Amino acid sequence: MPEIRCPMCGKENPADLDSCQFCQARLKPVIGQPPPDETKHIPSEEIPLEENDRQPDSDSPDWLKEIRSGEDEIRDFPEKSDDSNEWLSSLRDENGVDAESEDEDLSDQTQDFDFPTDTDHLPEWLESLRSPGDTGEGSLEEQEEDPDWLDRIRRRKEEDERIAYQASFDEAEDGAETIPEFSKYEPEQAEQETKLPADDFEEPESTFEPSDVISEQGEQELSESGFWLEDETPFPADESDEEIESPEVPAFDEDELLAEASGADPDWLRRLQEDASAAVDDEAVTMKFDEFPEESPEEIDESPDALPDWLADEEGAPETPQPESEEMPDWLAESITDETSAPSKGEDEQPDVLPDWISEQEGATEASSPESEEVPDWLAESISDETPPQSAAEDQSESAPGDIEAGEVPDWLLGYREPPDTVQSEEGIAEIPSEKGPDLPLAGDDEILTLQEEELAEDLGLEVEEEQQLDEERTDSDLTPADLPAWLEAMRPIESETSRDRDVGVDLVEGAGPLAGLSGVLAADTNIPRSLKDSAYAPRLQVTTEQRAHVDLLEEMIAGEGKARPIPKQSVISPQNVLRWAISLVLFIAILWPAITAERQTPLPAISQETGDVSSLINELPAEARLLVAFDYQPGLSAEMDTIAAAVLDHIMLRGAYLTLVSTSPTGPFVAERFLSQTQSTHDYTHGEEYINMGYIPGGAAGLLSLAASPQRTIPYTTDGVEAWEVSGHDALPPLQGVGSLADFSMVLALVDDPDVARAWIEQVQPYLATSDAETPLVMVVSAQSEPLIRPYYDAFPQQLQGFVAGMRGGASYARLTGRTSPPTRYWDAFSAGLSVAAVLIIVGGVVNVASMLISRRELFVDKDQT
Amino acid sequence: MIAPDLTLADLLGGFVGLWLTLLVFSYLLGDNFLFRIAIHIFIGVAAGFSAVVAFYNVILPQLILPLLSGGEVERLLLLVPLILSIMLLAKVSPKLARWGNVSMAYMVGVGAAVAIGGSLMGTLFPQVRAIINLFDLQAAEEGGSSIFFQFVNGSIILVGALTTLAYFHFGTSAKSDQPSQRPAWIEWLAQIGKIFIAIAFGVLFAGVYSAALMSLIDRLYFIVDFVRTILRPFVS
Repeated sequence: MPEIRCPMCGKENPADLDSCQFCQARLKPVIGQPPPDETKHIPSEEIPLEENDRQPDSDSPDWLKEIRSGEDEIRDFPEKSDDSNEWLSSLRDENGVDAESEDEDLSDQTQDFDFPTDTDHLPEWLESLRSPGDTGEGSLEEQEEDPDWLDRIRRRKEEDERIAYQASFDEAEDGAETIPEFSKYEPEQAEQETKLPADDFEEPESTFEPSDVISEQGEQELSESGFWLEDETPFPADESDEEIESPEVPAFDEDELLAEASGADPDWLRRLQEDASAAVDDEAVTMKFDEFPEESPEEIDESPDALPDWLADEEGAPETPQPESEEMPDWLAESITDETSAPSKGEDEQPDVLPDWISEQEGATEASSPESEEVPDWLAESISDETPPQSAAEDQSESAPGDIEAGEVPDWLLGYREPPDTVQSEEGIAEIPSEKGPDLPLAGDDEILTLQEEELAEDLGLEVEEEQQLDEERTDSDLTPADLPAWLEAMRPIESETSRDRDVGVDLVEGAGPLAGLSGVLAADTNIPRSLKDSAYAPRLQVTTEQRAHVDLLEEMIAGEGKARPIPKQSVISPQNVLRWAISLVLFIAILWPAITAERQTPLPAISQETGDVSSLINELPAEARLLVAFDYQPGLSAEMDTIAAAVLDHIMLRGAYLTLVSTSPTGPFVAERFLSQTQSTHDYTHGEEYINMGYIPGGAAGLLSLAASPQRTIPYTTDGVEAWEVSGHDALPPLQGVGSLADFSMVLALVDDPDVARAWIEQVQPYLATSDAETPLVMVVSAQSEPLIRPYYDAFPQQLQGFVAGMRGGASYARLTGRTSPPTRYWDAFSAGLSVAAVLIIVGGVVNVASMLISRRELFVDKDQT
Repeated sequence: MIAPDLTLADLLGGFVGLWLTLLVFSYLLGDNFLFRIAIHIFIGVAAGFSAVVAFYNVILPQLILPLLSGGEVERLLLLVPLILSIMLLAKVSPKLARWGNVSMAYMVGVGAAVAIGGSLMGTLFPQVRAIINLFDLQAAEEGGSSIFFQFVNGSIILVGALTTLAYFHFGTSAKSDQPSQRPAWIEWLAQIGKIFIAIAFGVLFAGVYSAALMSLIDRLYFIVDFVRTILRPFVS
């Protein structure tokens, strides 16, 4: 009974079992055997890749496990994982295509090993090469007839690539997760790559140090450039775009190509798949491949007999690829040349050491010049377009310290090493795809990487511009930072993290201290975060919507401070206005009633001493006495002052005294003239004759002092401009005849409404009125509001004021004393009524307030008692 | 106050007076446009009149005319007030205002000296002397006054003066753990002085009220007389 060896535990199991009886691992792949309906094609997407990939892990060496583990990690990038096997598949295909007879053996071996032979394990287009006879003209014609579906495939591939890279950058948001892996990969990949020759070929580990390349070249370029994404990458972006957009270039995603082809059910593709599933001996190839690295290159070169049979067959058929290229369709040849163009590094260096099949493989792909005659022009252009990155990679790899000599390593291994070199030779951005796995050796992968990197650079370049635009729009439209797309957030820490992690990977040799001479020592500043993040920030202040609202509110408040606020209109009918109207009404009635009735009912007041003194002094005036009369009151108080002074001046005029009118107020001269014309018109006093108006005395108290000291100099002219005083050749006016000073006046009468002015007259003038033999009396007629301040000067001993008449009461008293019915007596009733009303209102108001206070207190006491 | 025979000027003046009086009375309804018109008219007329009076009554006869027709000495002496007056006009411009400081300094200095001298010689010393003399009973007896009433009157005036002065004494003794407070005896005198001050303020208020009441009476009588004069031909 045939037995099946478990690929997982290696134990024998009956052939009829589907899973291992020891480890329960699946013995028969789900799709490993052809379906009952052989014409039915299983899409590659439905194949569980995990099982297909993991089953041979148990038998594979460590380095291959690591590579495959890397494949598992980057399984999100199907293009790359598939492409990573393309170089291997190409080897298989050439073997299978050249030796059709071996298909049967291989199929037998496959059956014997019962190894999964899923079509996805190798690219379908390579599998199809194993049966070139099937890929006849018909398939090529279908290919040419249906270019649209290939375009769709290509577009989908581009979209997948872009999505894959965006996903990789989304992972970079975590900062220390994905991005550091780039740098981690660099030393790790270097180790892996150096381990390969170290383990297998005993190559020194230091022969290849990608970190040095990064630290010396990439970092320098990064430091020189402000933003690594803005710098132009060495990849010809335009050329890659042309390649991508060229409808003639077939897509590299063979899985999707087959998937699309299966959807269209082209016959040649079905046949290719069937042949591939039936004939490809993955197990044999895999096993042989697994065994292959265990042999050193020297052994391979020196003992070709030790090579496995399939590899020996490869040597025996070196010329097979060339005729195949003629038979295969152009798009397929192009894909071959595209994929195999990358490992062109060592083609000139090791053409003899390499096996023929490898040399043939390289010669078919890299040596485009000798084959350019056989390849169509568009394919030649495609090849020529790909050479610059490779040459750049060669330059970089040649300049790398400790480079491995090409003669010591097979070209396929050189090609295997090339992607890191190529990647490292490029600026910063080339590191991104290099971390996706160590098994990205083929030129096709490099091309994909190149295209992807160019797209990434373009995307990032556009993203930088878009970020700036978004910043501006965000500032204008109040977008929050959370609205930034993930890719934009992801790109920010890349720069700083990459630069920092790159520093970590620098292999330093300690020069001092206990670790002197040791390499690989962590740098002292590796943990010091050096953030270049600031350069990515927009200079504008980022504010949230809430902050903007607060700013607007503050600005509105500040702007409102400079504007006048309209005074709120109060209602006309208010308690205050009502009270005001009531008081006014009462006063008006009290005042108007005597005015309307014209009846005097209130007796005149009693004669006061100061009023009597005034009357006595006037009575004592000599005949043709000269009096100085000062009209120092404002027109606003003329009603009171005119009423009071009318009786006094009437008395004086009756005595026939001459009057000299002065005033310390500018309106005084006008008030004096009006007073005389209206109240004393009956006396027929003439200006310049009986009286003179000397006008205004400027200077206030100083003017009064000047008047008291030198009246001729202070008031030389009358209001008419006539010299009033006696000068040479000009006699003085009658009121001033015989007067040289104030003491020469018979009396000084001041009509004052302001107590300060009255006090100034007393202080400044009164001292100059007294002489050694006589004293000129100073008499005042003052307003009622000045009486309290004037009385002390009258009550003093010796008196400073010989008499005064104060207010309406003094005027009425003086009128009563002199027996006149002048205005004081006419207004006396109204005045008395007004005073009485005012007194009553004051009393009533006070009583109401006291009552309200008592009521409120009583209510308060009652409330306290109740509580 | 109203003449029996009204002229056209008296009639127009009466109407203007009546209109302005009513504008002022409109303040009873609150601050309004009519009241402000009357106030502005009064202020403008008073300012204009004062300017005219100052020029024609002071500047022209006492500065310009002497400069034109005076002697050389008088002219030289008049240059001082002329320059000071011109410098005082510089106060109108903010840029040249400092040039008027000299004139202002002269005026303030002279005014302060005059006021202080007048207060000392005209009020402080005579009033102190007067208070002292209140207790000169012999002089009072010689004057025929009652000694008792003279003494009482002098005592009241003395107490009122001292207590009022004590009220305006705000010096306090500083103690560490006690609030600032005037001495008790000064506080007691100050309370008495407050009574005298309250009486003085009451008198002042009564004087102000009586002065304002006289103005109201005069205006109301004016209205009554004017209306009566206007209506007299129609009534008779």
